[in-house]
Amino acid sequence: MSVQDHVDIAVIGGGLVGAALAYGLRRQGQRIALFDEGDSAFRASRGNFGLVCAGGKGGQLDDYAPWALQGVEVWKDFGDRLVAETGIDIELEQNGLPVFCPDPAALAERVAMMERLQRRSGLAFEVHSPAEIDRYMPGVSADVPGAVFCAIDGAANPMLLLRALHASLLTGDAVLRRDARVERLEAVSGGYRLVTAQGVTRCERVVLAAGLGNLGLGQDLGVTLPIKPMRGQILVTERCPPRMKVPSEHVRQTRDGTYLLGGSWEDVGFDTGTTAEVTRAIARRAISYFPFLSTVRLVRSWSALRILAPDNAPIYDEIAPGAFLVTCHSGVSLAAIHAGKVAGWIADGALPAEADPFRLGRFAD
Amino acid sequence: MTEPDLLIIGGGIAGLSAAATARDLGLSVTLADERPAPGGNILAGAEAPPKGIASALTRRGAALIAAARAADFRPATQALRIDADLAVQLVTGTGPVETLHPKRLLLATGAVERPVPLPGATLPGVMMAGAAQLLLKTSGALPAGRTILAGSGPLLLLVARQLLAAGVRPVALVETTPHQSLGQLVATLPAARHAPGLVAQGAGMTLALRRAGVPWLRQASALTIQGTGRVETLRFHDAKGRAQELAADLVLLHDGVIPQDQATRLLHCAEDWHPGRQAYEPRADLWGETSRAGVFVAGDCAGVRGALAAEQAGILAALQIAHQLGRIDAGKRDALAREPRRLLDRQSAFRPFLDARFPPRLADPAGAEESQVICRCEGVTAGALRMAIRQGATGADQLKSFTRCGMGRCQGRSCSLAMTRILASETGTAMEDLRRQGVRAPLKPVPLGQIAQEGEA
Amino acid sequence: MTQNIAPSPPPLFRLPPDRRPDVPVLFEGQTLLALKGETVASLLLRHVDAGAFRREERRGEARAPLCLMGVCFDCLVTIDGQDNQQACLIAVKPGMRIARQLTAGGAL
Repeated sequence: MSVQDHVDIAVIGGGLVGAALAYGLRRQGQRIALFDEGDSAFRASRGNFGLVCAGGKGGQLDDYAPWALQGVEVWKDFGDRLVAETGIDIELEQNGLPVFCPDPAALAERVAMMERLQRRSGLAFEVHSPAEIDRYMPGVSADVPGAVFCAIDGAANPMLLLRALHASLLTGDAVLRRDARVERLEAVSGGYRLVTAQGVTRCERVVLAAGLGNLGLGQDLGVTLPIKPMRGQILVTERCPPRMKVPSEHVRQTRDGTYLLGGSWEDVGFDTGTTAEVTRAIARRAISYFPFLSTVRLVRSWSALRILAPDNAPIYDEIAPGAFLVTCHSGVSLAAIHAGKVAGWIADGALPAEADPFRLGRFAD
Repeated sequence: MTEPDLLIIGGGIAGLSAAATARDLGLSVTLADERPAPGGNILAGAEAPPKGIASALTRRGAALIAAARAADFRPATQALRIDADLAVQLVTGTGPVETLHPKRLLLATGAVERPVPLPGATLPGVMMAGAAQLLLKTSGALPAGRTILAGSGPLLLLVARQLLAAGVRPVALVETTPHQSLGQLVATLPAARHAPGLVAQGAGMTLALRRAGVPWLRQASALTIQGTGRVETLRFHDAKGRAQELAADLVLLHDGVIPQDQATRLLHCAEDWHPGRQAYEPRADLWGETSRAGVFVAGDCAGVRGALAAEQAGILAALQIAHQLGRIDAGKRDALAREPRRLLDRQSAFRPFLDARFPPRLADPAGAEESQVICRCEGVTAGALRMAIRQGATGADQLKSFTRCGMGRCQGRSCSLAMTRILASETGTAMEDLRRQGVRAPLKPVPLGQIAQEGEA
Repeated sequence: MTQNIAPSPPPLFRLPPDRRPDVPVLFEGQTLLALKGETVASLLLRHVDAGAFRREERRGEARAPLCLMGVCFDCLVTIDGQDNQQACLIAVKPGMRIARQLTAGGAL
């Protein structure tokens, strides 16, 4: 059985980036089809930490700092609307987020970077001592040199965010193609042709939002993308009584009571396994910050592949007429601005000057 | 670095017999079992069996246990993670984590009772029949109050018989086994002839239960358990469809057994759906080697075929491992394998008789009420799963992440099969075509402090 | 004001008279005698009332052992100060301190 259909815009990728764009395009009145590869995808959206965070973004691309801040500023409106529309509580909290520094030198370095970013974006931050951290994250070790705290940052539940975005597409005329890996993307007259195992879809415009899958889709259009996987491993513990008022970069207590521990960066290609060594390192660091965690049980560990550009910033570009590329590492932090501004650009059919710093051209030399 | 020739996870009959054979052939063997004493389910308490439990098998088992105790046997030891290079993290009690690097790994983790998502199944006072049998075998403890056995399967009848022998008279035996026509029974005879002894044993068990006059309600359906804070009553429909209610303190459920396959799933070993046994089973060759080279399975974790088959499968795996490690040539391996393989084949040929006689009927997740709890740890209901499937979770991992089903401490041990069944039914997919939710390290929850300690002086 | 308190239900299991437990352990401040090598779950099933071993963290539902083979995690208890241990997999030791986890949310 083969499906043949025609839509205005095809969004390839059912993860957080693609689903947020699809959600935004729907709001712009576009007739869209979302192609979701399903369980066999790398699906970074399912494995991430869920931080909604501007702090620290833009270290290697100045223009990313104000963009990330804008993204975090519009998050609450986006989140509230999504919850109201779907009835799914995505557990958004923006009560601040500390980034712990393991030693005084790292703290000084972080502060210097934040000062630089602040000059660019105006992002407010504070440096907190263990006593100050203890007020919102009780049990922090007095040996922690300190943390850089951004009051606007926070976290959401990434799994429920993805679920809500998918649920929002159930109503109206959106087409959700599940378990539909796009095997081939072809430019044809007047648009594009997408081939999946289920059939063929014609569209006027196409959005490449398939995470690492964009590598192959870009090739289909003759473009080599400078993105690569960067593995992060995450540990999750059993449920514990609520203690933490805010998340931190490497340790967060979820609404369910579990602790998520993470923060590893490994350049290991497309390997989505976990290792004993990194598990141990994450456990050690978490315990060094919060000694009480040593009696809390680890329940599961997993890894996900960050999708990194050389400067860790998003890429927005029109890589062929009507073919838009959206790729980033921060699918949660940027979900709101993707559903808003970026979806608007694609609906308009052209990227404005605001997108210029994020185009592929920046990697040209 | 500790590098035994063979690490065996699971000290039940398959693991014990593999250990004995491997040691006889000169292999260094480490045997780890999460329980405090060896024997698994079948040989639990075999070193000092209560009256009426001992059999030829338990006597052989006691000898195997004695042999294992003389080896590097590690009771109360959990395998936490197993990596592709066969590095295996073990932890004993509250001690530090230790990593072993065996040349070969044998998983002999046995079977678990098929989870039964029934209304009221989370109430205190609901237990699996196998749990009561374990208590009887290991400490001689007996149900103290009004006890009902409910469900289907040879073990249910065996436990009823053993309780009677120990002087405990169940209030009732409520069997969900469907009525079978003469034609259906005749169709099972070719399988039955492979183990006439077991068939006769079953018939004797049935007769003894009848003689004892325990109320025996057959072809029951729609079982539900009621109570506030603990079990009070069991309700069901009898063979004629009439509503029945029985008061009880303890309800022992059983719906057959399935492989305990967390470890093979952690290793991404290929698996197949077995329609006759209604279970997923790791794919293995004639010696028990899985799709992961060097990783073997033996016993019920490779597909439920019972204790006698497990004993032989353990021997066969050990022979092949000894051969791969250069201790015996192919000729000697094959000669030593002849008799075990004959016995194993007989048991395998007999098994379809039991599979046909006792199909799982106690709880059908596909037809579960919306409010039925499927994931005991996270309290995820059938209705919540169906809603998430409608919202786009058409794969097991996406369904897990949308609902938390399988994210609790047991990591899907109690819900994964039922969840997959619901997914199959809602999406119109065959069980054999579904990819199950992943299993992640650690295999059992462990304090972070114990993980952090490994390798520290 | 006095309240009519229903007698707590008896334990679900008992020992036959020929078994003589003689290993002392401390259960919630009281000394119980266990059989040598018996699991903590077995000991409690024949000593505590037929209600909960624990209350699960989500809604505080009462839970008690289901499988006794390490699968269900409903027999979790506190042993020697460490929470959430599977009572069905741990053998008693003389002097062991055991407690149920009857407050939803466990310790911490």
